[in-house]
Parts: sequence; structure tokens; C-alpha cells
Amino acid sequence: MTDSVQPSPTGAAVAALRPVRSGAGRTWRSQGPYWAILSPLLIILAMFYFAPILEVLWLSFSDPELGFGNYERIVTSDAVLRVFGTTARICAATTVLAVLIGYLIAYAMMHVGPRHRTWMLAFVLIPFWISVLVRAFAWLVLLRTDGPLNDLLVSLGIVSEPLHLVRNELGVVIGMTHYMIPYAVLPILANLQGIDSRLVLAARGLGASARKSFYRVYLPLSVPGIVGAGILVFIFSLGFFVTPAILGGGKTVMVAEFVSIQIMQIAKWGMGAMIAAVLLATVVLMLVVVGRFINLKEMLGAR
Amino acid sequence: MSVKAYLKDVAEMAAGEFKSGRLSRRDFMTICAAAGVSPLLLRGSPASAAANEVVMWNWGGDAVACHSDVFGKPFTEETGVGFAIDSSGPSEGSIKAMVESGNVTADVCDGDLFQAESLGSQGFLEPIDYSVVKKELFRNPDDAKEFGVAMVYYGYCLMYDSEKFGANPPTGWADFWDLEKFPGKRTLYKWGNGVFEAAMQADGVPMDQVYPIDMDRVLKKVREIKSETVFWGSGAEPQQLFQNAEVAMGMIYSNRALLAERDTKGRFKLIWNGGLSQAGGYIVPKGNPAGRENVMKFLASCQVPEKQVNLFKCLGQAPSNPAAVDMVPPELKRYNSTDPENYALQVHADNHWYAQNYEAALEAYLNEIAS
Repeated sequence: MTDSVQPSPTGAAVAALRPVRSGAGRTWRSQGPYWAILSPLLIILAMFYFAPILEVLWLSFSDPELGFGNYERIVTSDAVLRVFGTTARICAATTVLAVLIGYLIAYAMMHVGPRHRTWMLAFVLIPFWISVLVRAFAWLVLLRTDGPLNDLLVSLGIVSEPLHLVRNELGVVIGMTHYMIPYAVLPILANLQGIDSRLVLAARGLGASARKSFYRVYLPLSVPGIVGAGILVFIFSLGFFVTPAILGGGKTVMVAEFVSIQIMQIAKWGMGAMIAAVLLATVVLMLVVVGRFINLKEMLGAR
Repeated sequence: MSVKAYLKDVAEMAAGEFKSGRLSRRDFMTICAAAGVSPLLLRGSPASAAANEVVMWNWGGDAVACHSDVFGKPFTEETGVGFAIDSSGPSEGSIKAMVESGNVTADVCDGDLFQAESLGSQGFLEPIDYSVVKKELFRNPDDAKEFGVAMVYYGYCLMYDSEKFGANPPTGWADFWDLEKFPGKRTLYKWGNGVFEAAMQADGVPMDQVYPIDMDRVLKKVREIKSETVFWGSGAEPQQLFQNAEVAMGMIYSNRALLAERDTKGRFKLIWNGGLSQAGGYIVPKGNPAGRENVMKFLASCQVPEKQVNLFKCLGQAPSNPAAVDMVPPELKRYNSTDPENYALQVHADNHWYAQNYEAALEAYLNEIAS
């Protein structure tokens, strides 16, 4: 009997995940005046945005010498591989944690009254507006070996030695997850608000347990929100610089800091440009692949 | 960037073009008018570093006020030439970028002396005019290089927790590496200076024979303790680590040691044994806007012993002029890297080795600590 509710929500989720094509009917000719109006913006973008990007790309092939020497390093250099590995590992952990916590917050927000929801939204958004630098230092103060949290744990006898919670990879993940939670909450919340709550009631009415109606009805319907939040958080996480530099104890080098070291400290611009180009390509590739399954415009609020 | 900022940027670029003679005054005024920016507003911004102003490029923080008060104001009073500071940090990459772009906006960089050799040999720097700057006022003949001068010295030295090791304090880097006899967290400098020399000493090399540095040995030693070590990148970090007693021992800039001792009420103590004494270099980017004559006059003005002592009092950076070393107040001599007593205890940096090898060594070292 419970099986009978399955096709419908899954079908709805699949529908939401299907790419949407639109606007194919208009022609260049009819759009001409609009392009003319837009052209100053496009020219500015081309000059100050695309041209520098192309220059960086060119640098990655031309410095120190013409060729693919810098790109060879992706497979031949342990350092490059390790930095990519560290970045992928930290971003994956951050994404999983931020989306999980974000989902819980968004789910709770759906099930409280409007007053509470406003308050909860405020508590999600306020840290969102605080500088990343301030937040990293706040974590450092809270979590260091003689900080308030460790003092509490030791005085309660929960641990005998203070835990090493910052100045390592764990500290970076904590700091980044905290930074990313609002980016997870907002798309998930938008998605949950679109779910017809009567579907869960229907599942309950048809005899599904509370747990089962969540896992088989509500959760599948919220997959687009989860995936969207996941992409957003992962892509933002890839470029983190300040948080790992402060909370990583100097040992957790992610891609952005690696690029900065190449450019500012050891003046290997070609190498830095190569890493930046690979990062850019990774992000574009991820968006293309994910775009095949999900309507990104809708997901990221462009529609 | 706001529209206003963008327009000002356009006007600043135009100012640069105008100054370098590629743009006529009339066109410059037209661009300023079109952008709605008064040409006068552009004074004081980096691109306006004109013939009548020396721009010092330093690393910010207390150095902004100290360089202005100690070097800038007296220089302007003496010569009528203005003084301004760009505190964005003259890293080697930034200096190269500035000179290569042809838009040089700084006159003197607060860099490392070895860069006089590394950047100078690649054509990024102006040679020093020793008819204006006085060679005889330096403590070492090597302080006066073709493309830069040592105005200040930095020390990279060891501090330890006297509450933990008071009865049997560490005496040098061999003890620093001995985690059994001296348990506890460590902190070391992320950009390598001083760590290379410390690791060689910990590996049994006498202090005066650490050059040329054997990076394989250094990396092997770093691997031994890196899990217990925090690597700091900016000068305030070891100070914080000591203040909170998060580490038991660590390396610190000697100019921060006084503050760290004061912060910890004397709990953390400084020892000079086996530290590194390395000259900071004042270097001039090629084609500096204030012109050769002005910047050389400025450099000569920084040699005055009273000013060097004042800078030491303000920033803790050690003077290069021997006359200034003698004038340091007795109670502060203990913190002066170039004081004869302290200097004798330290490794004296081989700037030639740094000029040849620093980039490669730093890369290997950073890769090691990040793995």
C-alpha cells in the first residue's frame, strides 16, 4: 500500500530535475535593439573581465616558457596533486556538513510559526553579514587549546587533555562549514517552501509511518534543494583563502592560498595561472555536468 | 567597484599616462572632466607619486606610523620633498609586476637585502648612488650592495615558556627539536628564513657552517616535528601563541620579542643562541616616480643614527649604522639583533645563498609543511 505513493513524488522530483529549454523562438534580428542597449556593458565586461581572464590563461601556457609545461605539473608534481587533494577533501566535508545542518535548520523553519521563522532567519543571516576574517578569529578564540570550549570540557572531566580543534584541518572544516551554512539554508528553504505539505498528509493518510512518509515523500521532493545547495556550497568552498590560512595552522594549504604563494612569494606566475585556470575549468565543468540534470537557473534564483 | 571608484581609476590611469609623457595635459584634463574627477583629487593616490614625493612601500601595521614619523616627516622638513606610504606589501612578485607593467608607483621598498641581488640582477631595480648614500656608515661592507642597502636588521630567534622549562631551559635549536626532553607544541616561521638555519643546527651542523643549506636535511628535520608545529606567516601570530601559551617554544621576529615578553609578563623568554640575523633591504624599483636624486637623498637621510634608534624604539628593527647601535638605551640592548653581544650569538645570513636559492628552498619547504 505504501508503495502506491512512491511514483508520484518521485515523478515530481524528476520533473523538477529535468532541464528546461526556453526562448528558442526569438531571433537575433528582433533582439537587435536590446543588444545595442546592452553593448556598453558587454564591452566593459570584455575589456575588464574577459580580457584579463584570457591573459591569465595565456600566462599559464607562456610562463616561464611556451608550452604545456605548467599543465604537466598536474600529474608530475606531488605538491600540486596534494593541494588539489586537500582542497577536494575539505570542500567535500564542508559541503556535506553545511548541507546537512542547513537542511535541519530549513526543515525546522518550515515547521515553526511565522514569528519563530523570522527570528530563525535573522540568526541565519546575521553571521552571513559578518566579515569572514572576524569569524575565523572568533573560532580561533573559542576553540584553541586554552579557549572556553576546551576549558569547559576539561573542567567537566569529559576530556583529560585539551582537544586540538583549530590550527589543523578540522579547524578549517569547522570554520568553513559555519561560513557556508547560510548558503545551504537559503536554497533548501526556498525548495521546501514549494513542497505541497498535503502530499505528506496523504502518505500518512494512506498508512505510511511518520518516518516512512519523510523518507519516501518529503525527502525525494527536496532533492533539488539539497543538490542546489550542495553545488553552491562546494563551488564557493573551492576558493576559500582566509579561513584555511587562519584556522589551518599554516599547514592546510588550499588552492587559493597555493595560487597566492606561487604569485606573491615565489614568483611562478605561470604555475599560479595554471592552477587558477584549472580551478575555473573545474567549476565550469561541474556546472555543465550538473546542468544536464538540474535546472540551474531556477536553482540559483535567476528566474 | 562603484561607478565613482571606477571613474577615479580611469582618471588615475590617465594621470599615470600624463606623467609618463604619453598623454598631453589637455587630454588629461579632458579625461578628468569627463570622469567628473578633479585632477587635484588625484594627489595622494598611488598614481600621483610625482617628482615631489617619495613613496615608501612597506608591509603596513605599526610600520605605517613609524616610517612616517621617523623617516618621512624629518625628510620633508629637511628637503621639502613629500612622503607617502603604500602599505600593500612589496613582495617579490608584486615588485616584479609593478616594474613589468611600466606603472611604477613606489620609490623605495621595505624588502630583504638579498633581493638587491636577486631582483637587481634581473633588471628590476635602480642602482644605489654611493656619492649620496654613505658606504662608511654601514656596519658590514656587504650592507651596501649595488642595488640596495641594509638599513635595518631582523632577528629570527627562539622564545620559550619559562614556566614549563624554567629549571632547565632550552639553549638552542637542538633542544627545540627534542620533543621528549622539552615536550609541547612549537611554532616556526612559514616563509622559511631562520628555519633553514635552525634545522641545520638541530641536525648537528655548527652555527658558522650552516651555509650552503642542505634542503634535504632541512626537510627531514622539519618532517620530524611538523605534526607538533604551527607555522606562522605574520609577526603578530607568534605573539598571540605565546600570550595564550598555546605553544611551549617558538621562533619569533626579534622586534616582536620585547612585546611578547611584556604580553606574557616575562613568562616567555628570548634567547639569541643560533638565531638568524638577516639584513632588511631598502631597494628602489626601476623607473621610480620620484626620480633617482630624491630617493637617494631619502636613503641617505635614513642613515642618520638618531633616526635609526628612533625606528628601533618604534618598531624594534635593529639599526645598521654602528653609531646607532651604540646609542640604543641600555635597557633595550637585550632586544637589539645588531648589538655586538647578541650578534655574536646568531647565524649571519648569507644573502648570496638567499639570492640564489630562496625561491626554490621556500617552495620545497612549503610543500613539506603542507603535506
